[in-house]
Amino acid sequence: MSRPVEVSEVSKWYGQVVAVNGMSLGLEPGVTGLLGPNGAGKSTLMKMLTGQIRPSRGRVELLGHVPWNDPDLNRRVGYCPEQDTFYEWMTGRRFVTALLGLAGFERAEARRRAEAALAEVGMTEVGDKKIGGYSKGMRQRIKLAQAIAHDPEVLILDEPVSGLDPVGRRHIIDLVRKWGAQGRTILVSTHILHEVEAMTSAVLLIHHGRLLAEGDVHEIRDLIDEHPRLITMVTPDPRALAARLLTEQDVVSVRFERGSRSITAETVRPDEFYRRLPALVLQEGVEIEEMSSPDDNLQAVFDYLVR
Amino acid sequence: MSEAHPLSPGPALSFPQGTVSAFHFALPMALWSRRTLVLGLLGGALPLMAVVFLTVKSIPAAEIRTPGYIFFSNAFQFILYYVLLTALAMGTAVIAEEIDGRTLTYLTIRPVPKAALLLGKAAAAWTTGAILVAATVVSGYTVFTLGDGLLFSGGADSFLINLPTLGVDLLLTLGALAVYITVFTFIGARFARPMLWGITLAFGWESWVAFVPGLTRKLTAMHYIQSLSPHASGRNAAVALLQQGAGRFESVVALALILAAFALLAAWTFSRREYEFDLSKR
Repeated sequence: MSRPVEVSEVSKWYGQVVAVNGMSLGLEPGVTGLLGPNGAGKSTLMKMLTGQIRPSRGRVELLGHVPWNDPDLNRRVGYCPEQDTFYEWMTGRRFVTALLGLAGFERAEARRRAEAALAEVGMTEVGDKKIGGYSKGMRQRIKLAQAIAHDPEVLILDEPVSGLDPVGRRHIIDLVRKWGAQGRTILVSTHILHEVEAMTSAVLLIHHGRLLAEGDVHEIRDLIDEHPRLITMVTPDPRALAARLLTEQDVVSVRFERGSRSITAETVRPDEFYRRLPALVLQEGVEIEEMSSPDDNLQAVFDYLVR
Repeated sequence: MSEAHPLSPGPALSFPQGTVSAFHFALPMALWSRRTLVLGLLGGALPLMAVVFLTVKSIPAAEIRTPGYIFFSNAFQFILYYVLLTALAMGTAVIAEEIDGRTLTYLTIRPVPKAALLLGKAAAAWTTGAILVAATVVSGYTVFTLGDGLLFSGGADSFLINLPTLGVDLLLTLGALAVYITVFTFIGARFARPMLWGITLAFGWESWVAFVPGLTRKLTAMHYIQSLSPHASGRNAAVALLQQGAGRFESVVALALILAAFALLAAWTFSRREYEFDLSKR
């Protein structure tokens, strides 16, 4: 039996720009991480898998079907796009319900499924607030809710934890693992290795539109872990957070961003750093509103890997 | 949310079902938009003109003896431009608004054929525009004729007598709206900066070429709309001697062909185009 996702010799170019270059891969049920720096071709691959764009060359198959212009396939596929855009004036509840209605669900069934999806991502309480008033974390969760609400077999999640606070990040990672354990085939992109590792051991490394490596995340982690990593955090009290972080041995420097509430920490053991953060927030009351790893950070790691 | 296989995907949608789903999705958005509010206020200009007409007429020195329904006939030119403007605003927004707002992805990942999505959204735009246009036409006609009849002697029956004309006007304006919304939907689906293209077409080509004697005017929808209009009005009356309108049958067929051709073009364009590249470039 063929795998749920098959990509054979796929290339995608736009004008002179080659976004994906001769890529072949297959996904088994469960969670697979798609790891690569910004511009590696992650989003382009995901858009081809969801039928948003078609390959310039090669063949993409999802559940045995070519996704381009096959709307029926969308009943079985959920997609969480990277872009942070919405109908800002809609409430989260209305957003999910309306999209279920568009997918052909009767009103009562759409409401029932929307409630289940909101509960799944922890948005029931704030479902009646307008999306325009949501925090970054809430916006990510409502995007996930619309992706999962119709109970798809295949989930394509483009940077679903980008910009989330440590607790929100943990919650989404747990959800992805749970959905994978339910037997869904999930492809989740990120440019943070630690996130992939927390979700799955299966990883695809892509760089400059090519598949660089695939396999067990632990095998490449040791290589990458040696490389220092930058992590940017937004906090109401940058000075206090910096002081607290500098007490950790793995943190080698902290840089303040002029005129903003964000700081950038450099760590030589990112695994430990990420593992420590939820406890820092929950037990010591340190406030971290957003967290991200600069793109050039992973670019440096990949340059280091392909050297 | 199911805990184990088999998962329960949603219903399979036929093309008509997809169109209806898209219509229900898009209608509330079209109805309660800022665009609709602005167009509604603009449409209020016609009844306002009627009030001004009645006020001026009530001044003896003005010596206006024209009955209200005749004045309404002259105001029909305003209505045609209002239809053009409404179609321009509503039609170009059908797809372009989703591209500008970067929300198109949420729609195209649903199990609805892209062509059905476009037609459902265009139908919602037409419904909203039709409410606006009908409200303007009916309220303008009512104030011009009924107000005139109540305030001045000799015109009391004009409201009822001219109701069939109102019916034809409504049919014509709503038909014209459908034709223009389809044309502008295609422009919104096909071109970047659709407003610019749309304004050029609406207030350049359609507004001028339709009145140029010769065969060129047969390439405008306005020519056939004017030919079907029961009113000899404004500029149309002035150049009536130079022009000869198309026959009724020819006009209806031409407008139906324009509508069908642009609906097919819009659906084909929307189904084939990779909008995600547009989204990523913005």
